[in-house]
Amino acid sequence: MRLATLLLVALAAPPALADEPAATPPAPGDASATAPAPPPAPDLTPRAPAAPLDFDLLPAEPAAAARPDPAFERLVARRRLMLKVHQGVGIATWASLAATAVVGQLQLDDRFRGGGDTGRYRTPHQVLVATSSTLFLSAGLLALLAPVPYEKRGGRLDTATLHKVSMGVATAGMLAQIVLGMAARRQAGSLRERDLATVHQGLGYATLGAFTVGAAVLFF
Amino acid sequence: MPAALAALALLLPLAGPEGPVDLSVRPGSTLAYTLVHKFHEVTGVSKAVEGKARLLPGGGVQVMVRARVDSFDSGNGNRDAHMLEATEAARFPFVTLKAVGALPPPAAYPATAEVTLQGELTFHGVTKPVALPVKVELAAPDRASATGKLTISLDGYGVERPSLLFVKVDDALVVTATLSLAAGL
Repeated sequence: MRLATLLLVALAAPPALADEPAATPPAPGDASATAPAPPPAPDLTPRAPAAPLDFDLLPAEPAAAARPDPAFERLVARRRLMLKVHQGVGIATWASLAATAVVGQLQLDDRFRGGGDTGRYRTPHQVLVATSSTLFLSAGLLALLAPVPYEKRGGRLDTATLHKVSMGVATAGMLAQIVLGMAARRQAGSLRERDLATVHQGLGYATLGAFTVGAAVLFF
Repeated sequence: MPAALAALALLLPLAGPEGPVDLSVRPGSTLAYTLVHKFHEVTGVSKAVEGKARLLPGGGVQVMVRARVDSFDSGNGNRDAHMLEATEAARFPFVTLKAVGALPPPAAYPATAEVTLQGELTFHGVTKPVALPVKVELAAPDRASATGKLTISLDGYGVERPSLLFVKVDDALVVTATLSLAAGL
């Protein structure tokens, strides 16, 4: 009977008490014993809210909004694909333009600056010009012809506008370079050829610069 | 009988004599998202925020805030269009937060309180539980401002992460709310 009573008392004791550490007096000089306890950090664990969320404080959203529109989604997918390819072609265009400028510089030095006029850079330069022009045109067309399913905010100076302006400048530079390069070849052997080639060279670097700026603004 | 009385006593604070107070989100409030890409960080801000906070007599608060996805402006029209594509804004035009928390009325105004709202965020057609720590500045019984920050996973909400130069943005999207609230709007 006595054993049963003891057992009952033990079971009735609050279990939390068993887990609490024994209270110990603070050691002398223990600052933590007197400092106020820091406020508890908020519990940011997402969980089901204690109170129900079956309230609506705002008018209902338009019901038709969640209906998918296959034609619209096709346009979005086409735009995404075209702009993704545009980026890849753009990177290739920048590399090709840089190579064209380097080989063009070598060609100029070879012909007019004591290189011996061997003509060994002429064909590589022409191949690179054709490659750059094709890539440039392709990248431009991919951007211009991409559908615009979501209306864009326009009429303001943002990095997208700077990208377009820079690429417009680069386009003008590309066209001018092609014309100047061909004009210089037509004047081969004359003093004018060198002048035209020098302008062509400057425009080449300017075009590469405008293209680089147009790409770099996308990182801001 | 005493147990019934005790239960009634517990319920009494929820039925205060004054009833709930609705505070509406005022113009000038913003919701912003911040995305991190390897090359840069992007912040889009919406100033078209609508919402209400209902202060319950028992010290509870119900909150509902939403904004149109197409109202966020990152300062770049192309990027914003890309975000609309990624979040399928035509199908899921709103981002909505519904939450509850405890916000007992202060002894005196002005007062500041830290509240952790527990609720659900619906974004891209997906609803997930969230916990949002909010700092509330109560200027008067009918006027307050609140700021809170929440980090969500784009993958978790089924959003195909946007990319630039074939590098996707980080999965974490930080949402910051800066709300001005007042009664009677």
